[in-house]
This record gives sequence, C-alpha cells and structure tokens, in this order.
Amino acid sequence: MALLPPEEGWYFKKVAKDEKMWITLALVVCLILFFWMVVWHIYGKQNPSFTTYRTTPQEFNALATAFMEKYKTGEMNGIPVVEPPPNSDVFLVAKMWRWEPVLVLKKGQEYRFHISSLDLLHGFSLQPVNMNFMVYPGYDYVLTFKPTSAGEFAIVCNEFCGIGHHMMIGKIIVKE
Amino acid sequence: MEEKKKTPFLQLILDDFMLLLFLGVTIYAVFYLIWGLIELAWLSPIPSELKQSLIGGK
Repeated sequence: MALLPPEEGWYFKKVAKDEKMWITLALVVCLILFFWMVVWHIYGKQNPSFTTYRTTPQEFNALATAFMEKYKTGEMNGIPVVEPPPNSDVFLVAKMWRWEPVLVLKKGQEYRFHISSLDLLHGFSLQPVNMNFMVYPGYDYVLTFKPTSAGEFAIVCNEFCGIGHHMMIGKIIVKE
Repeated sequence: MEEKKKTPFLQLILDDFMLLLFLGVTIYAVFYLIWGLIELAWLSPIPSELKQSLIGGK
C-alpha cells in the first residue's frame, strides 16, 4: 500500500544505471526547455516585455474615443480609420464583436499600442505574423510595435468571446 | 555493535508524505497564485500625462 512507510534503508540502495540515465535525460530536457524560453524571448520575439496599467472599461473607452477623434481620417464599414503620428500612443479597443479603430501606420516607425477590452476576455492575434496576446477588461496592455513590412494585416480574435467571435476581425494598414 | 546511521535530511523529507503534499500545494500556490496577485496589486493606473494629452482636464 502506498501509504505505508518505505522499507528501511531505501535511501542508501543503489540506483540502477538505466534509472539514473532516465532521470538525467528527463532533467536535461526540462532544463533545455526552461532556458529556451529566454531564447524565444530574445530571438523569437515571444513573451515580449510590456507594461500594464490598471484601468476601467469606461476610462479606456473615453481615452480611445478621444484618440480616434484626434487622428481620424475616414471610416471603413462604420469603423473609424485612424492615422496616428509615429512614436505616439495608439489605442486599440476590443469589444464584442469588433476591433476599433482601423489603424494606418508607417513602416519602420514605432508605436506604443494600448490594448484593452470593454467587456470580456478577447485575444489579439496579428495575422499572418506570429503575435498573440490576451486582452483583458480592466487592464491596459502596452506593447511597442514597429511595422517591418508594408501591407494590410488582420487582427483576429483568438479567444472565444461569444456568437460573433468568428467575425471579430480588425485591420492594420502599414504604408511605406 | 551496529552504529545507528544518522538519517539524511533529504530522506526525512521524502519519507514524510504529508509534508510532500503540503509542499506540493504551497510551492505552486506561492509562485503562481500569490506572486501573480502581488503583481496585479502593484499595477499603477494609466499615467495622468497621457490622459491629459487626450482628454485634457476631464
């Protein structure tokens, strides 16, 4: 029975060679995978460094609306199209079931994205780039983006958020 | 006459299954749950300069 104490002197028993090898190999694999996380952060640009601020959906909505009004250049299917200046703060709102606004950015310039949700948990997935982040209501997730190629990029919600989840697709347009 | 060997410290830990249960719960609770809650509690609000630049004195 497992709850009985082990036999006397078990600690000093010789461990079989294959068991030692098994433990060593498993430990080596664990350590490699552990330190590979650091490698992915540096070379794979995964788990990026970020800042998070505490906010409320009402406050974030007010800031995002003011940002959209300030830099609005048009509309696309009822969603504001916004062209912020380089090296500025950009607000991206996730809500059931759309991303606001459509962003027009310049290639090679940095932008500080403030991403938050107004209702429930969403996922930010930039296509076709390998970038995925969780978007929470009540938290402003600040990431620094630098578009490296021109074109149109889709933002797909990759966290199930209800009946319209599959239609929650935003857009980022990068100009030369 | 046999000398009684001093029980190694590691064996004392590994023999005590209730202690192992306690460590198995506590270590994860501290490093995942409590550390995470502390990080969330330390979050600051959006800087007022940024708010001012967008919505002025509101």
